[in-house]
Amino acid sequence: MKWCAGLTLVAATVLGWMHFAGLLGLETFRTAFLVASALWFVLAFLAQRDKTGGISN
Amino acid sequence: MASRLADLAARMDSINEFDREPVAESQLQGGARFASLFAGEHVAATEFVIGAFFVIHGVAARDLIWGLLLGNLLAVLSWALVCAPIAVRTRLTLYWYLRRIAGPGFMAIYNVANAALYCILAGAMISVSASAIGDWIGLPPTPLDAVLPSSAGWVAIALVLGALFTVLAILGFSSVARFAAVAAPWILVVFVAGALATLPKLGVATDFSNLWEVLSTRVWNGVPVDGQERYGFWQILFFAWFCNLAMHIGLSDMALFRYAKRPWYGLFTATGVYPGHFLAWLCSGIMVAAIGREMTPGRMAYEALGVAGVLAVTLAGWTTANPTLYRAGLAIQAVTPNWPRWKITLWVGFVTTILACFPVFFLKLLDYVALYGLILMPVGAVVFTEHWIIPRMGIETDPAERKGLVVSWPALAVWVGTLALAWALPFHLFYRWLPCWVFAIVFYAVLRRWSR
Repeated sequence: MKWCAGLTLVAATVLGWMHFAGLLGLETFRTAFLVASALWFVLAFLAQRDKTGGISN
Repeated sequence: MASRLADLAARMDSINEFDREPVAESQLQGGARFASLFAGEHVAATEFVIGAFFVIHGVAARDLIWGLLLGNLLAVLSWALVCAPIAVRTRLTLYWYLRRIAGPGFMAIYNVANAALYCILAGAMISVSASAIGDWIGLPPTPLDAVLPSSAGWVAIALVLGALFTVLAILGFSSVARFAAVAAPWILVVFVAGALATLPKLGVATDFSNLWEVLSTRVWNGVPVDGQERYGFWQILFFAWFCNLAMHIGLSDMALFRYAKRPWYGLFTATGVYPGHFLAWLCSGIMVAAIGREMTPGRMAYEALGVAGVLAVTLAGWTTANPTLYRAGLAIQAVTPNWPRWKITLWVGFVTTILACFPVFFLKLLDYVALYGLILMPVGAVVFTEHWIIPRMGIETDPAERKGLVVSWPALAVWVGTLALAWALPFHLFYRWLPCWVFAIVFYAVLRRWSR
């Protein structure tokens, strides 16, 4: 799950690159980035559910 | 006065009771843990503002890159050579170590100062979020020299957001903290993708052949916006070095490094400062250049990424304000007898929300960051001297604990004296902390020798 979540962030960065390279129009890029972001939050929260412990500050 | 301070100190001790003992060997953490801990630490709402301000202050591209590379290196070395070694040797938080050195009354004063500074910082974060929404709904941009709110709309947004952040903090700091941990890597991606998507607007060719030319003529061109002071290499270097001064030289991060197996784990802070205080600042600079160098974080992010950009600035403000509200509440808990946690958070949130209505705190963020570090730095200097220099002078350490003092007057005199010197020094604000730190060390050593 953690890796799947990470992939959405990689995809979001690649989308920025594709817009820069002229392969994606501005509106398509913005919509796709929003979708990738939403996916990141869903998957990252699912991955975080089992995580425990840490350094107390 | 002394009995009042002793009373406050007793309450603070009970709040921090669970941290009283040095960290046990079995609780120590490895380097990988620290590398991941710091990775998301320095990507916050402030990055949208700070990187943009460097463009507004007319920094040249070469000065910016070298200044940030070296300034961040000095910050990392400050963690590794000043903060982490003391934390690893004592295994204590700054709170308990300083209590031994300067006394519980001194800690009470330090906590109140810390709480006030945290409230202003959280207010600035709420202002950043408010500006993002204000820009999005079409409120006029706030002038760079504004102190008071520019419109009733701005005040309304700041009040609503401040109230919302406070209520969410009351309902659960830890839930928001978990959300912040998830949001941090995404916010870094927002910076990178936003800057990439902005490059075509600035005229960068897809093969990057003219990248340096565009960056050095259209982004960091060495020309400040009208009325703004021009910053050069040294201002950038010092800013990158001191922007976390309270954490490294001020020793607040002893709370983290007391868990480190080795002092050199301080070097792992590089995993946070270079993405946050180098990459993110460069990216926000690129984004602000594309909107005509206006300090409007929301518009800047919207132009680059659309609604996701506005959400990113708003969420970044929220997730940064949340732990700041928590720390302010914790610091102020000592002077609010028998108040439940929600009531403290409510009052801290109320003060912070009022401060957020004044855009001056985020428009003068660079100066505020400098002042914040400067005010807390002398306390770090006192602890540094007591730990490394006083034993070598043949003087017994931890005077407050040994003598049962409520306040160590040498420590208090050094704090006040150093701030007075900082106020009087005829240097740029960014440079004052370094001579003042040296002064604080020498002054404290002299006072300790004299009061022996």
